[in-house]
Amino acid sequence: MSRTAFLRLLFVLGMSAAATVSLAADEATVKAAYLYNFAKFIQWPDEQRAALRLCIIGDDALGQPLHSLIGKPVRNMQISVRHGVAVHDVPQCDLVFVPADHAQSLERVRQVVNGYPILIVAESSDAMPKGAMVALIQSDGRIVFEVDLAVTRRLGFQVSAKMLQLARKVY
Amino acid sequence: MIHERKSSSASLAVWVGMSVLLVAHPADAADVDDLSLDDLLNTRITTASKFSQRISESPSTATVIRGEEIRSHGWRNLSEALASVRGFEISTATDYRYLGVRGFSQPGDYNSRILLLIDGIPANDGIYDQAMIGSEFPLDMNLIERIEVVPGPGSALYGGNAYLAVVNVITRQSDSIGRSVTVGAGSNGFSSGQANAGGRDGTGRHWLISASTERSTGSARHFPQWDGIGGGDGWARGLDDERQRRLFLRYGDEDWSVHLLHGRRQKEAAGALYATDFDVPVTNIDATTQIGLRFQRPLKTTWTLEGQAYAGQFHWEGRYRYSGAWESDMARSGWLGGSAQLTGKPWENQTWVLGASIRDDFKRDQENTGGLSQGKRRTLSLYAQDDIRLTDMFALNLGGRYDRDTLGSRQVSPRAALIVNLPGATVLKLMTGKAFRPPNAYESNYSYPGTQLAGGTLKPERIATTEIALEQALGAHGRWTASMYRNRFRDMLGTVTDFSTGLQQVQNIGDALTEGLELGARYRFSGGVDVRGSLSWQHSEDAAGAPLPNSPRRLARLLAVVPLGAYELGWETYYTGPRRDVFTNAVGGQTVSHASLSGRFTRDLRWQVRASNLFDRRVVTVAGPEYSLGAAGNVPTIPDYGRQMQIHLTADF
Repeated sequence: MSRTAFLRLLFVLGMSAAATVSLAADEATVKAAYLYNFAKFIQWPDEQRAALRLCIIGDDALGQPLHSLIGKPVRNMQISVRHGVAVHDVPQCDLVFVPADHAQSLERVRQVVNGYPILIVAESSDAMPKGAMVALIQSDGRIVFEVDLAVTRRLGFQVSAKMLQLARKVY
Repeated sequence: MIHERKSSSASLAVWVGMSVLLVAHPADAADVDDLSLDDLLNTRITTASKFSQRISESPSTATVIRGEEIRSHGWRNLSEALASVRGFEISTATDYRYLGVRGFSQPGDYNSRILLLIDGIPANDGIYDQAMIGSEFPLDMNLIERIEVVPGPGSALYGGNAYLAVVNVITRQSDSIGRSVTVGAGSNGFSSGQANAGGRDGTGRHWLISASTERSTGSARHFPQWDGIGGGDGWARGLDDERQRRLFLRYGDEDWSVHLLHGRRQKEAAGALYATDFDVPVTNIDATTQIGLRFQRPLKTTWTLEGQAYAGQFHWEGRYRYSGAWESDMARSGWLGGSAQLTGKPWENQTWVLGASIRDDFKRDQENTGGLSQGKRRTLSLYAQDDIRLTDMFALNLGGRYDRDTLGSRQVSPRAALIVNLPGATVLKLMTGKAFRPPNAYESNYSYPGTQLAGGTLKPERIATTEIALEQALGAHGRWTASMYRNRFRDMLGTVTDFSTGLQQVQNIGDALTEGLELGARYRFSGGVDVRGSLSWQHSEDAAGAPLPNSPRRLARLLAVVPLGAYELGWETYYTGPRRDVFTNAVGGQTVSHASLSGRFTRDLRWQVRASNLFDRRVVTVAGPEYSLGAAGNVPTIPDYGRQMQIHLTADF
């Protein structure tokens, strides 16, 4: 390999290495991807059904990235999406996402979930005390997550060890 | 040599290009399922590139009723939700429900002074310009996302009939509705059934279907004035039957949707209206079918084009018995309309709205034993609004609309508002505007030999409003609003009744004034308790200085939604202060409360119990003059319902 060719290859490899560290994506895509991953890495106590129902409270904060999850397989189920869901209808969900602009509904969502195996995912640093089971938190230009293992265990969820390892904090 | 240099710089460009591609490659171009948990932890978020809709301060003191509130309180038609709005008051006559706004409530005006929109499409019929808000409201309350109520003159944007208020009912997204079946039962032989299903696929295509029906044998009511007349005891028994059905279909995509709605209600009305026999009810059948198409398209830069096209038909039939002989009246209207609206920011600090709309009331037929009257009408309108952000603190909103119809009406409705953002999340609004209401086909053309003379050439009625309001946010959990207003009415249209001959005619009866002060607040406490309340002081007078009929001097409302563990309680208390009837006699104040409790049997089966007039209070409604044309003489008030209970069971699929 000639010297210039070798330098070029080094240049590109160097750039590629940099690329895996600095992926960039818009918020909605990142959050939707997190919801998909949570569905993959958590087992619900009752999975003998066709649909894994993913709900989002309020108007569509996650746009097209969330819609692209419709029909995606998770073990032997397929994801179905409902957005604009009212707090009253949360029992019809398996995973409910409470966006930041609906944070005030979180307490009510927790009351309505009431022991059913419904995973509450919320945004904000004080989402955990308010009732979230998994919280998405913005930190240093990225989004990280925390898990309330005690509550999820009590409701019958099985959270994979890999997901717990990657969580910033496990309660 | 030259050849080599060229190729090396070209290939360098290719290498650099590829590298740039690798670094700058946005992950959202990849599928969401390409991002693993490890990847996500290392992904930097870029600011959302979608056009951020600046929530500009609206030039009004709107009330928004959320779909959750409708469910928590168990409201079954629009009037029950509107009763909770600051400054609003519902009168329950035996035939229809009427809405009074800020001290103006003319019994029997068919709510033609309110513009009802369903997803922005006008829903008032073509003959009475009626806003069907009672059980004849053609949309199931279960399908509503929110109701935006804007008191005040709305003609500057919406034209005639946006006179006292504009009520926009916004339906829920198709996939938020899911699949469910509801059955209900209750007092007075009430039974109901409802089913709905909706969905949305990954490409944005959505669909929704909903059907419901309701039946009630109604309640016996006592009319003391009829006690002893014709050997009767004044009790109207079995004269209150009501049946109703609704259908809603919708289909669409990201940028467009088309809907069809249908509602039909048949109701018997007691009280010997229009001098009919007391022991037999008047039967009203109101049916409407409406189609609407809406689309939205973003244009280059900051502009958006919105359009709507709609068609509707309304059919009314009334059956009456006079001294043993049956008669029936009919009205049929058909209308077509459309509008196009451009919204955008030609300059950084201004948002413009420019619109044009047309409406063709191609059929407005009224038929009775006196004959057939017809009267087509076409209306063309142009409107514009400019929202100017003058400084960080001041914004100015100016708007106007020109409406011209083929019956000779030409109106200009201007509106202006100054919005001041004070420190501490306080907003001060100063608003002024004019609105109008053209006479409807009933007022102009309807005649009945021996009972009613046609209105003939009538002037449109006009209103000029001034309002000052203060809105204050209470942290992130609530807000309070204080508002002072004055409405000047010109050339009011009203029914003049000659009680000696029993003849009625609609005329421009003169001027009037209403003014008042309203205080409203809402707050969501920790623990989920949501409270909403309002107080209103209202003053009204006609041209002679006498108070208008059915104009309460005070109103108070208190609503609360209280989570109680696995249950939820919805509470409502309404106080209506002293007012006058149409004969200028005083009618005392009254308080009525309703409560709703809901819960779940299982995850997929929920229940709701509602008690209206929980304490079984004696409540009355001020009667329109149509109740006083019979042998009993003057009937100033109609008894309202006592306590009624209903239970509904819903199964979700």
